[in-house]
Amino acid sequence: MSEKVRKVLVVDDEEDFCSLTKQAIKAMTNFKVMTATDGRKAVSLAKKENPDVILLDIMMPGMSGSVVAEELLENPRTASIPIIFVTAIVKDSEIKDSDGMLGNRMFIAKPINVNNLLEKMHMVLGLPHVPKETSDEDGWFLT
Amino acid sequence: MPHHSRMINSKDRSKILIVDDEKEMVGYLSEYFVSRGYRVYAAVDGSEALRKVETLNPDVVLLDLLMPGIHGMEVLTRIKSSHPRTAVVIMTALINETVAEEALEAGADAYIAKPFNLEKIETLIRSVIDRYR
Repeated sequence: MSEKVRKVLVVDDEEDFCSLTKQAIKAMTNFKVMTATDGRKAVSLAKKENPDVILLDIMMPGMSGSVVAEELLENPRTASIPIIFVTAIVKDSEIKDSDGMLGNRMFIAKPINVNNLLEKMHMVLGLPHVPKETSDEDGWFLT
Repeated sequence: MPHHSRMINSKDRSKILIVDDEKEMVGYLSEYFVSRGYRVYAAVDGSEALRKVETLNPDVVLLDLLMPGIHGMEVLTRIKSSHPRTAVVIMTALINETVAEEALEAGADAYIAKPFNLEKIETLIRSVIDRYR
């Protein structure tokens, strides 16, 4: 059975974070990963490529992640793309306590545990996720 | 779990415009308010703030007083004359009652000194937005 290849868009102003995250996702899934290092590029890539999920950093110079999210929501073509917001200030414990949802939006805290990220992505995409052998403690982290 | 897009009801959420020349502060406040369900926009100086008030018509502006270019007090006065129903909360590192009184007289809805507690500022923002509902 041929399966549809899922597309992920990673948005962060730090190029290293984008490329590491891309490597991590590609190493553990068959998702197609695209990256954008600023908000403007993120919006145009989302419109063009229609990704299945977006990992979005809020704290970016210029067009912030919050504005990217609002623009995507205002456009009918991109309004239903699920967004996972990346935060450096909201505590991981608070996110866990609320099942990842804060203010009706999905959050993940930096440093990002790769397993946790993949679990969230699979959930959003409605795919089953079989975690690899790494645990929360010794997992692969993206900062 | 219901589909993600259905959980976000953007029309119901309050719009906040954060105005501060310190990018770190803008980022910090943006993340917090996104996590609290607000639609968050930002401006790094007074003229950008005034432009964005025009285009976005925010429910509340969180405004730093000390910025290069147009002074926060003038931004406040201009917002209040063009958008009287937009709440404005002044923030500044200056702990100075005279400045606070001046801002309140110029139409600010509230005043908060930096550094502040995020939960307190959210409660304050919520209460000033409710005044205009």
